[in-house]
Amino acid sequence: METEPTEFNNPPRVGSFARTSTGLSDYQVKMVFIMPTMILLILMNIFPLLWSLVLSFYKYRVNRPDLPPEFIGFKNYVRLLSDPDMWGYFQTTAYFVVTAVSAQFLIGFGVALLLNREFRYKGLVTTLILLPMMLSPVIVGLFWRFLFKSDTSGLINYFLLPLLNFVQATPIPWTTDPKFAMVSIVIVDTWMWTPFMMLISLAGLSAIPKYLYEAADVDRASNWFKFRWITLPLVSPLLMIAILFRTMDAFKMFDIVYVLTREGGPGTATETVSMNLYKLAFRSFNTGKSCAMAYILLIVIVALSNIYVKYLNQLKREA
Amino acid sequence: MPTRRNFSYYLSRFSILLVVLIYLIPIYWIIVTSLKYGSDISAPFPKFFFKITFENYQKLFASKYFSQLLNSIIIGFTSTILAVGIGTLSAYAFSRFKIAGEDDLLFFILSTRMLPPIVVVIPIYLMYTVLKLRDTHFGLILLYTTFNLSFAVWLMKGFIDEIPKEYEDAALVDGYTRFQAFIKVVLPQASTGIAATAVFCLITAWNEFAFALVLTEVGGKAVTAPPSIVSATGKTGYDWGKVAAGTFIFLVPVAIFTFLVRKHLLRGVTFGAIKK
Amino acid sequence: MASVRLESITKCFDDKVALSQLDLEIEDQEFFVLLGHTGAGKTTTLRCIAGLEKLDQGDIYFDNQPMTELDPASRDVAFVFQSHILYPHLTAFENMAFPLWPRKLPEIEVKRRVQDVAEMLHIEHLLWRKPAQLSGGETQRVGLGRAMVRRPRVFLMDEPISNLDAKLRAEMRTEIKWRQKQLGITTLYVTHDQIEAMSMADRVAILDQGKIMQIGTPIEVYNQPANIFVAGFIGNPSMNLMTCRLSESNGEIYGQLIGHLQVALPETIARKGIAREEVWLGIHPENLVIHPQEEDNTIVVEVHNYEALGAETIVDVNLGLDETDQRVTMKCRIPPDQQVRVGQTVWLELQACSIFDRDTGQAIKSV
Repeated sequence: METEPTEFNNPPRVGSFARTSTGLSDYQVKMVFIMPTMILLILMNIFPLLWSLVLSFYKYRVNRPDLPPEFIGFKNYVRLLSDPDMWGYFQTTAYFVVTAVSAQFLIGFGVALLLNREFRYKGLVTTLILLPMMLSPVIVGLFWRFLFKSDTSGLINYFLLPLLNFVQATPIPWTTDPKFAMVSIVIVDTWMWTPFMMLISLAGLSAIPKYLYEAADVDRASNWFKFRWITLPLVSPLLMIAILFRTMDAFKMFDIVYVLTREGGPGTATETVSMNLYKLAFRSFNTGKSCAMAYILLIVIVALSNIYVKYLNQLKREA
Repeated sequence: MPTRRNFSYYLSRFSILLVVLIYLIPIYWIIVTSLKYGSDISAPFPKFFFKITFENYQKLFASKYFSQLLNSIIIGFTSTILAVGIGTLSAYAFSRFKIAGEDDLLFFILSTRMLPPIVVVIPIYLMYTVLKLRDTHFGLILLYTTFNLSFAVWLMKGFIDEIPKEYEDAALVDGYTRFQAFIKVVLPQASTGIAATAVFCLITAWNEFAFALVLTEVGGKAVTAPPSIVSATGKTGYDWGKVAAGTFIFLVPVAIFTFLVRKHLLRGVTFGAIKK
Repeated sequence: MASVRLESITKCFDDKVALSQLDLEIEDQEFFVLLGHTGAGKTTTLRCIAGLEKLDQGDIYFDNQPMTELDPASRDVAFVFQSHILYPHLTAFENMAFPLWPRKLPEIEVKRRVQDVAEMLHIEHLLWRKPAQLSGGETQRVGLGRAMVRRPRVFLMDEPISNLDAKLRAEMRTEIKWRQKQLGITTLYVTHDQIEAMSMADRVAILDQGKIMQIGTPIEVYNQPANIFVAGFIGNPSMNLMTCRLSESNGEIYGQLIGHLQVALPETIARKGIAREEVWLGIHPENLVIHPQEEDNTIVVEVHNYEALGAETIVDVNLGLDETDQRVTMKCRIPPDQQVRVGQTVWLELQACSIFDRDTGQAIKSV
């Protein structure tokens, strides 16, 4: 029943081929595409985690293959949870997380307010400030150890010299004194991650429509009023995300402590949970106990990240 | 452009300059230190004017540093290609098909990344000890691939979600199979996203320390650059000139890549949660 | 070039019924328009025909060949989408050749066909541009060419021109209709714009909530709407609809609109509804004539508002208040040279009307 239009010079009909199967079905494609991820995650995450779960009920040292694992039930867990030092490590971690994240938040938001205007080289300035968070934390930590040198040859102490002379103090032993070690870790982490807070704050700030401020100007609103009733409410959801991200990240911080204060020193002044776990597993090779501790930590993190992902999803739905 | 330059204008410019200085000085100091003689570095006060030398870089050449940098390159690139490849496939499936328990699966994928590296590495260490994968390129590649995979899935899902479904529908109607449509239509349009994701994975693998520290031996054959720089302590502590030189070489590619993905930084650091 | 038959197709998304028991028969070479509001199920119907959605129930046939189980690639249809018509990473030429590539034609044949269609659509000079360098109208033309180049059995078009501005839309309407007749390819065209439907369709189906309200030629659906939904949807302004009580005296049938306002209705139409106490009365605005003085069979009303549109004037007249104290108005279409004032008292004559069942809303066809 074809009527050929003249323009087509009667081409052969190519569409009428009757193929019933054309390659993989959608279901097959879905499976083939997801499988590699699942296999890898099962092999590299689920399986080892199950293995270590089993080992957490044993007394076992991986560096002593001659000693067979000895089943001790929940003893590892009981010992860990009743160990006062353990709570100390959690406290150290909490102290670090709270101070570092608050500092990063306040400074980052401040810098974002500062940068949220037009000026020359804005793009360049922003990119330069953002660089530190892309660097390797351990390398950053290492180099700050150089800047923090405890005599006046350290750049930080050198800059502080006029101030130190004024209060008649000696150069500060940043990383080697229990009083200052945690402060120096907070400073380095803040230097590194303030850009992260700034980046997200800046995204929130630049998304606020200009006409809101113009309308407020017409109403002769004060700067504080505009900040309190326009800026803050509109950026706060993004700030929440930023704080949650940083909290999760700070909680597992390891690299900077490892290198800046030499594995949590001096003494245990900066020994965070991650650091302690590392020592337990790879310094004293208390493998069974370290597996138990890893599980305690895992439960804490999963609980935290669950709250966090729920919040993220809710935020996405609103966006 | 402001026409009236009042006090607050100068204050804001000055503050911006101050922030930039705080961020540039440590990086500047790395570069400068790498060009100093040892005696200038250990001088009682920091030296701002000094004689330039490439002695530190020469020392690096003589050491095993470059072979360790090569390890970083091999492991970084291979794991990135694998993670982005596998992750893009999954991201496509998550973006386009109905998957039972999709939210839970995505959460599971993400949670593997949320764990502290030390928690993850203990069981891996045990497994690798048995499988004799410790201090091998393959072992680190496998681990970095897994570690970056969750990130790649999340980020790529965001990018693929943004590609209109109509493009594939049109290809399906036009006689292409689903797989062909994926290759010919989705991949070319996702190319920017793929590139950005790859850069983030590469930087992560490049910078990674904890896994590399635990799973390689000091001076071993698969040691990457970060643990090698950190473990380069001499008898009298660090040779800071050499550390600075190694650090500088190590940081340059990161800086270049960061510059390349500056438009996607926000997305990258928030797992695609915030899109610009 | 095929007839298309849908047999009681049903499609649900999650728990929402998108199409329920839809029957449709489209003749070979017909230009068939699916018209309805957003969410009426028009696009879903099209996607089901293309095979992009799996049916929950029912069957689809092209020329009596069952299509239900075939995947999209095997159905030999071409789909023109509303937006995202062209692949941004390919040139116009590559976009048009794209549907030919999986068919493994010789390179030269692909080139010739694209050239032929491009000439036909006057887009030869655009072939080497990327979509970003094309205007809205040009993009739409290339998109059309992309569909034409394969000479499919059926064209499926989903609001292909609704993103264009008004002037270009008018041009493209003519263009698409003309090309369709020239190629003789069966076409299903989805739109929410009744002007498109009326101006292009051989036949039109009006959809609402996944059901077909009426199928007919544009004139049929305009003059004989099957129910009050169609009556209220077609026409701009659409029919005036109001409930009305029928009564007979002296062989004339009167409709009691509100209060004591009575109007004589055309005998042949009103007769069918006389058995019912109350009916829906539907009157096209052009079937209401406004007289400045009282005449036979007129009712007195007040001009509430008017819009002088140039070629015609639309007058809102105020009939008074109904039982619930709501103002009852009607729209009348009058010639542009007739003058009215707001607040003016005028006399309204009713020349034709339709009646619908009070409860079902269906047109009353017989007594």
